[in-house]
Amino acid sequence: MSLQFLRKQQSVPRRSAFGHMAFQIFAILILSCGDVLAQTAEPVATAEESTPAPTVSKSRHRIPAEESRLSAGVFREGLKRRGLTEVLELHVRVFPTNNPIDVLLMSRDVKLAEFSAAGKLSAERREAIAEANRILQEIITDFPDDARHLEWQYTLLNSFLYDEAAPYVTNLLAGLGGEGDRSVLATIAEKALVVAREFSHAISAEYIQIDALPAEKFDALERSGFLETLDKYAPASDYLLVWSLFYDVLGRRPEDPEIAGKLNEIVLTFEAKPAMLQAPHVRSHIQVQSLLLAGMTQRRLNDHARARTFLDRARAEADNVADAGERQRLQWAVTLIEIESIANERDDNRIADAESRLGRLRELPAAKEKSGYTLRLTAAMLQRSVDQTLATAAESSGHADQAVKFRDKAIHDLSNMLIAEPESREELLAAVDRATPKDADIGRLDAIERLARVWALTREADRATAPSAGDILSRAIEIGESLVSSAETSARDMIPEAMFLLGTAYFKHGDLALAAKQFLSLATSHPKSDRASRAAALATQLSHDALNMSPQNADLISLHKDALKTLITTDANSEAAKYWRFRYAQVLDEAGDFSGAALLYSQVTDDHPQHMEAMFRQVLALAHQVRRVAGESPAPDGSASGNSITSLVASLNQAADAFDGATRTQLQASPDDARRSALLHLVAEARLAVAEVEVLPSLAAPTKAIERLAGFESTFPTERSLFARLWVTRFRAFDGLGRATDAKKALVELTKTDPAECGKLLQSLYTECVAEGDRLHRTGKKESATHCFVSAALLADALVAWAEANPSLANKETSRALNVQLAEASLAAGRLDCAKEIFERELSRHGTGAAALENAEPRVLIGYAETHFQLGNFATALPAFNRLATRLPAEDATRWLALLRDLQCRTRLGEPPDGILKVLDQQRRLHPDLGGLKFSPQFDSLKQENETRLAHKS
Amino acid sequence: MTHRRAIRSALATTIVFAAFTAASADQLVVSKVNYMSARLMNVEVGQIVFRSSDGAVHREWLSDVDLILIEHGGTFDDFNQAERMAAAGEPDKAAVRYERAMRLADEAWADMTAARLLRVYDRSGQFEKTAAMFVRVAQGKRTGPALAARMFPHEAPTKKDAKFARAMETLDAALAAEPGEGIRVVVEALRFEWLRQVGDVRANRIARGFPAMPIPENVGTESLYRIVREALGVWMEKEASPTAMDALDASIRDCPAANLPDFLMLKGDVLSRSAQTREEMIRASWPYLRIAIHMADDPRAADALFAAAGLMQRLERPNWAASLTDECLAHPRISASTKARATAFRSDVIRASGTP
Repeated sequence: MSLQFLRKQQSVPRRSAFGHMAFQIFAILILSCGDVLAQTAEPVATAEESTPAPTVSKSRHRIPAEESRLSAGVFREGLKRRGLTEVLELHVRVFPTNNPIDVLLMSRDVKLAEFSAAGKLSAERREAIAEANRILQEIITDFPDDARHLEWQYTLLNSFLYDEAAPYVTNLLAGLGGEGDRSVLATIAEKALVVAREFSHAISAEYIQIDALPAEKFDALERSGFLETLDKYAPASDYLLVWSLFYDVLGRRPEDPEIAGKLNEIVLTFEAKPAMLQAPHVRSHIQVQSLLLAGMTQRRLNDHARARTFLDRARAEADNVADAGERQRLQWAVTLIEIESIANERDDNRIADAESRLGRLRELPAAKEKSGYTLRLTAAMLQRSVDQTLATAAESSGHADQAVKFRDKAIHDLSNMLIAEPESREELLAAVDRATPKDADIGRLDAIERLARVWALTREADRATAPSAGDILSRAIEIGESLVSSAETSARDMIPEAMFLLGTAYFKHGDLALAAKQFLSLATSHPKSDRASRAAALATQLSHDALNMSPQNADLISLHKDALKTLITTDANSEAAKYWRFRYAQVLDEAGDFSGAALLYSQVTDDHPQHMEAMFRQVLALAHQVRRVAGESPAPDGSASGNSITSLVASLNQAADAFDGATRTQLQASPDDARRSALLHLVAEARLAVAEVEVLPSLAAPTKAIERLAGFESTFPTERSLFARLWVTRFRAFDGLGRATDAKKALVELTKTDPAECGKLLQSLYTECVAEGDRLHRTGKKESATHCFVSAALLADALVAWAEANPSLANKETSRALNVQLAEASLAAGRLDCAKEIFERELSRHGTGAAALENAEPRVLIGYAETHFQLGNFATALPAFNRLATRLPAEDATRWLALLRDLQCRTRLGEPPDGILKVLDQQRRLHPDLGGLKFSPQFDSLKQENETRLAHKS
Repeated sequence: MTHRRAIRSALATTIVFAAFTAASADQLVVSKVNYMSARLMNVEVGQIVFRSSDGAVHREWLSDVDLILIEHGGTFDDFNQAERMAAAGEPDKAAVRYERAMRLADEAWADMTAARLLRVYDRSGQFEKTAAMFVRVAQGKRTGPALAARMFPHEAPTKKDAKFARAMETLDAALAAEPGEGIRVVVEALRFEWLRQVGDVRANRIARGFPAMPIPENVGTESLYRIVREALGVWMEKEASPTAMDALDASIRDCPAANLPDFLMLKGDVLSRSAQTREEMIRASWPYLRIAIHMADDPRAADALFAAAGLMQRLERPNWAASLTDECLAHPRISASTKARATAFRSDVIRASGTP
């Protein structure tokens, strides 16, 4: 059994090692009695299936038919075997038996099933066994005359000692226990001791009664087997009594005055029943354990020499056991003998012997097994107690330096274990904290004790209710902060764990941002710590949660981004990184880092819940990036620019194809309606986004866009919100191909979509088109510029039509402005008749002749004049230009155009050149730059023309 | 009594006497066991009584008898030929011979022959005649409802034609004659079964009452309770009234052991459907768990375990749900569909609980 007794209770049910003590004795002594409860707890007498009732009546039955037809006992046993305790409990409650003892035994059975159930928490199991024992105690009290009384007492005593008390005893004997263990054990041991004494008295009383029986009654009793049973119980009662006494001692604080009396009672019992210590183990099967108990008793009575003797004898007797099975069963005792021997040498100030025995303990095969953590921890705790003894001695003798050295050494082993075996850190910290007095001054605790205290306080806070939980956590934070900032050498190795616990305490205290910062700090400053990965994940999660509460907080945004970056870059393959990669991509996306976002989106694995969305967003991010590159560095010839855009477009197409394929697969898998609808929306939007890129002038792939969007409306009939963008894209594509009719149709379709959105879209397109035309015109690409202006005229037309069709969205003023815009666009596109008609109509709104020129707005006036100028109607244009040239301020570019045109008209009309030249000279003097680069060369040209005219005239 | 009838009766009595007293070296095959040189002794309440060559007296349900050959000169030629034809898979030819034999037989032989006829009519799918012969067997003094309950037709109509209508009229007429409990229950069972097979709404109406009828012990066969289970399933599909629950409980109490898992499954299903509270869910799990515990080898145990696992999941006990599903998956007689569903469910439980 190696060191099972040293382990805390595991989820898998098993008897403790001390249970083995009982087993060893009574497996031989009272095999038949060992399973007393298993027999008595059978809830229903009939274990066999009953036969169908031969009745024809159909009267109403209160009890379901299966309850009368099938055995309740078999059913409950089946439920118990499966650990379905809640199901079993209700069945017992709903269908109780008439016998009150059976009812109670069944209730106990339920609790025992809970105690044995796999998957139960330790605390729940402890509560279950305590309740089971309480029920049995109640039975013993309430039914003192029942023939099973002795059996129940024996069972209860075993259950107290080997089930209920076992985890606390294990902790205390291994030096891993504390006040909590002691306190619980005291309560259990007190009850156990009462039962042990009653059991012992009951057996004695039975013997007295039997001795007084007449011969025939004695014979009858003997034939019934009762005497045999009694003979088996008698030695068990002594053995259980001495262990009960010892448990009682273990449950008391060291200064308790009762201890000596109880220990002496053990000594006296052993003296009164010497067979326990003397009968060879091979026969009694309890000699080794009894010698161990005697040794432990003497150590606690401070008789170290006698303790050593008993422990050495116990070791020698254990060594003499030849049977392999028996040796295996005694392994717990052998280990405990070593532990007790070390403690005995330490207490006797024989440090060298203690160290030597510690070496032996560490060399035990069990201590080297992976499962031997508790034994290794026990050795480390014993080493620590030895070092602390040495430190205290050094302090007493005035060797402060040596004392410091010993105190650092006292931490060393535990610190190493903390780092080397992180998966068991909680067991270590719990053991250290249990061994640390709760009322100790924090300032006097060493680093590992403080670390353990922070750990324990965070756990304690979980169990506490507000506001005390807050106070407990404040205390944990205070200690944790002091430890993290500590400069102690011995604390250095524990800093990552301290930072982690501090982050946990902040989190439990509700300070998400502080917790996230702490975890992030741990992940970045101790990247090799086993906590780093988890800390990075927690920093990410908590900063995200904090950000959800304060979405605009710049510090939190930055913290979250840093946490994401740390997690993704330092622990890229972890599950957390896999999960959060999508979020990090979103953050980059929102920040405009489209290429970074696209890369991360592409790394989101297909088991991620948002894998499809990641694929979709990758397409959008790449589309954004293409637009950015195309906008920032358009190719000089206006076609696709450079390698970077080529490779970007290739990536975009690849991503779009991959997304298309993935959605097809998903759609074929017949998802539910909501999922299908969501997928179709993503597909539609992705397709549109790619097409929008393809119609960019710098990519010049309108044909691809038209193909991509073919049948869009029928494929995605419900995606009406995308239709405006769809027609805009089609318009661009047709326009790019010079298919004016189709482009015009596209605009008509566009106006049928969302009217409110359509107006904005058309205007935005118009502005964009005019700007592009101007740019091309400036750069001398007249033909391309004209194409743009023609497109702009189409859009202006569409806008006027839209305004007429939607009077609620476009008031009179807007409508008029759109008409003027149409006239301007027509003028730019060379549609002079259209421009003339609109401008004249607009001008006429202000009257006729000079009045009209006086009141018309400059925009209309310049358009009217320019149109006539273009048409060669210089005489008509001149007054309007003159009006503007004389009225508008010099800062207004229109003024310079008007002046230029005014003088050009005069020149065409053959007015005297000297007058024109005079005006030009005068303007040159007043405004040396003559309207800037745009107009100055034209004025120079005009001047030259008039000078030539003047020369001819002369 | 006419002269002709008097002669027939006298002849029949002679044959019976001859058969039950003098017949020797008869042959019977019962449940695939061949009794050569047997001696047929009597027909009593659906059972045939005979002495085998070792002198032992046997009493076997006529429904279990595969072959009867009577060695008595030419008197039983038609009957014997009918038996051989039936055994050779020629039910139509056999029916003609049985009918001829029955015309000359007295009550005991006629009843027995009717039972044999029922068998061949069923095989040949003549529902109209099957219905008539089923009623005849149920009403027969020497056969009775106990035998009819063991001879529910295997074939069932698939359409509502004129023959089906006449068959139903025969059954309706039998019920209108206010028969005893046994006859009523078996005839009603057949009515329900056939109406259900053709999708007639009258089956639903019968389902809401027939399962609550008293079922005499000797009529409570596996076949009958299989139909009762069907009817209860229809009845409780939309409602679980106290009357229906009582009927279900009565079946659970009285049905043969082989039917019990089906009724317990139904009870679990009904209780699960309406379970809202924690206690109701636990109670609903009991019938399922009864199957898993008491009838662990039954093929339905795997289904029961899976259903119980579903309830444990509803109870937010993922560990129990997982372990019951594991037990279901490990069941040697698990069906492919249950296996597929349980495997998927197991994955969901793991995902939801976060435990491996």
